[in-house]
Amino acid sequence: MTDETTANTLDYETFRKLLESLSAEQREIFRKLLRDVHDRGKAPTEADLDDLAKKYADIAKRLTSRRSAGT
Amino acid sequence: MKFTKLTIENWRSFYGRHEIAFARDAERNVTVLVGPNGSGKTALLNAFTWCLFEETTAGFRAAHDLFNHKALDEIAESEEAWMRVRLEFVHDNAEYTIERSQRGFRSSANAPAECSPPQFVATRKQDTTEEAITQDVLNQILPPGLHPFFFFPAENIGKEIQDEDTATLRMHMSRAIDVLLGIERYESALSIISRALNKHLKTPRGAKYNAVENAGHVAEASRTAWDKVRDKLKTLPQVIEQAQQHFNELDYALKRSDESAEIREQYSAARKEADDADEAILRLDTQQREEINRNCAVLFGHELFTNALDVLNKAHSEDLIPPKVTAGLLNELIETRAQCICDRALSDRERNILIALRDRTIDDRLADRATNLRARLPGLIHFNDTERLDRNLANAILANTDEITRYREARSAAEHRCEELLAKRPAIEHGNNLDIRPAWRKASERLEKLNLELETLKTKLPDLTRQKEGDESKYNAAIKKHEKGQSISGAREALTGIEKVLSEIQNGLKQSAKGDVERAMNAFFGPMLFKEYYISLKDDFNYQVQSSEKDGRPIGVSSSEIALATFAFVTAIAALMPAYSNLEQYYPADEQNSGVGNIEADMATAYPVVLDAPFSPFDETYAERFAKQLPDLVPQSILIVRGDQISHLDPIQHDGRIGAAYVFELHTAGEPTQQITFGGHRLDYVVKHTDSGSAYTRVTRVEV
Repeated sequence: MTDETTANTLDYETFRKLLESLSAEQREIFRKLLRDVHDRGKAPTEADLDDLAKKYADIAKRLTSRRSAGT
Repeated sequence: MKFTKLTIENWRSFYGRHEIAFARDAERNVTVLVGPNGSGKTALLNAFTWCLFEETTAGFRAAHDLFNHKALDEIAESEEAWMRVRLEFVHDNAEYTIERSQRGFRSSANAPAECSPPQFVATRKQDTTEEAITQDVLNQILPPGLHPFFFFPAENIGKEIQDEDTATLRMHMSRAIDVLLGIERYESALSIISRALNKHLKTPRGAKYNAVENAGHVAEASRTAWDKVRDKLKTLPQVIEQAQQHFNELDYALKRSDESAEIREQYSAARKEADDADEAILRLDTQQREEINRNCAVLFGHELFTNALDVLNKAHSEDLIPPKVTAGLLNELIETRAQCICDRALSDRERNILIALRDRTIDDRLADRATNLRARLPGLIHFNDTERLDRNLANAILANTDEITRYREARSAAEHRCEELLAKRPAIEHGNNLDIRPAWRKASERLEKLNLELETLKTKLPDLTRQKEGDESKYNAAIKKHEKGQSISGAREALTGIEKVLSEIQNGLKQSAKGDVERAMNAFFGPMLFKEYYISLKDDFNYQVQSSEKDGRPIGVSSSEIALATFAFVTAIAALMPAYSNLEQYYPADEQNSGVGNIEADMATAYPVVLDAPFSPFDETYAERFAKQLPDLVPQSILIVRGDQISHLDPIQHDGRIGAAYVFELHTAGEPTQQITFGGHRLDYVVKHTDSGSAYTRVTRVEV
């Protein structure tokens, strides 16, 4: 393996730090998003993408408004 | 994973039902399928991809024309036939059966046969349990994005290398890594986030706070205007009531003032009459006095004093009458005044008489006569003093006196009338209507103005209410929009954060996986080569063949070596797939877990590879070497070869590595009959038929 590839390797610590840089709400969205996409077992269609995009936009908005409402 | 059996029925050129049982034995793990051009070698490769994913390989001609034409033509009216592809395989101790089929039918004798949409049935049998599985479950075992490598049309490699245009292949390879790693889901997730940001989380227009402020100012102004009118409408009726009351009072006063005008005129007339009489009396009295004084001597003559003296003398001598005129009075007349009461100077004679008179006591009558000559005039006239009296003059004075008396009576009457009228003082004193009228008019105008204002405000209020409500509504809408904008802004921030992390993880995973793939490629590549070469994967997943002896510098390689590197990649995918098939292992390795970046490809558990025309890209030397090494490196391989290339299989046939072999017999009218020798058998290869129907293929098992 070359030095170049080593330098770009994602180690667990970096991965963990990246995830920790997200808020709890963002992590929740992140996990749901990946799980939803993964569970489909195939690349989403245009319509799927729109539905999912709307769904995650709604989740993000709801979480944001809940946070701003102090709950 | 190992494929156990492929059943094809009326699939493309394959007429009827054919079964191909794959070699699965550890030593005899190669299945060979031999066929002439046009017999359906590529169609067989596509039987895998269509059955598993309803997809065909790039360049597969007439991808929607799958039902065997001969079988389709033979369908009679109201009958049906089936085209089926069934693939059976074992994976993780379970048996899978995947079948995709199409029904062919003819609705009328003259109508062409038609095909129904494909039907998919899949089952998994583990121990004694059998269950249906979905396409999604199948996709998790065999990602559809990887089918260009599990089912690899090697014929194209040669073309691409020859054309020096490997971009498509490189793209597929890079894509395969994405699929292998599940990068696709990161890409999909990023795509979803991108759509969410660009389509569903657009910051609404007018969401800025100054829009709220502006709307707030407008609403405030409307509310203030509305409040002002409402307050005015509350207070105005009271003001109007007061103004009305004031007007009523003035109106009453004005009416009363009009009524008293007549009395006032009467009073004025009586007053004038009294004043005129008074003036006349004064004039006549003055006139009379002046007349008497001017003519007193003429009027009374000297006899008056003589007679007075005589009377006084007599009274004095008889001592009968007490004197009334004192010596002092006479002294004043004689000494001080020295003139008559009419202001005429006394003559000497008159003076002497007065002196003589002073020496006597003057009685009352005389005194009266001396002091009130005018009063005496009637008496004098009556008592026959005509000789000493100017009668005409006296009568004139008397007449004058009568006139004065009349005037005095008239004045008295007028005064009396005035007093009577004054008894009606309130009416008279209520004021002059001329003074009241301007105030009345002013009050009337004010009242009218106030009432008009009230009506105007009443009319204005609904408009202002609507305006106020409209502006307040706009203000609330602006607040909501702003809040929505804030929420969207927050959501954008949340998703942008995820997007950044996803990108970094995606990139990190890909770079980490590069090491895994690179090692796996070299594990396959090394044993095949005659030289010490090393494959280096670049960031864009292009690979470079380097010499390990020359500090990794790129070296010139042959097209066979490049093709071998491509197969190395295919094999690497097949070998890494079992490890990467678990979602959790996509994550990077920690101390306990062997994850992406830390996975050594296990060739013993690698997925099977199906290679179409595997020897096409190689020269003789490498074709033989490839054939010889392949059974040791991949647990199961299925090779679809042309008849003119089966000689490359001789070494593994000799070594007993071929566990199953089939020949595709092409039945056609277009070519002469041919035979082929394979596995020591002489077999039909191309069969010329004489009917005019479509060409078709039959599959014949060859004992090896």
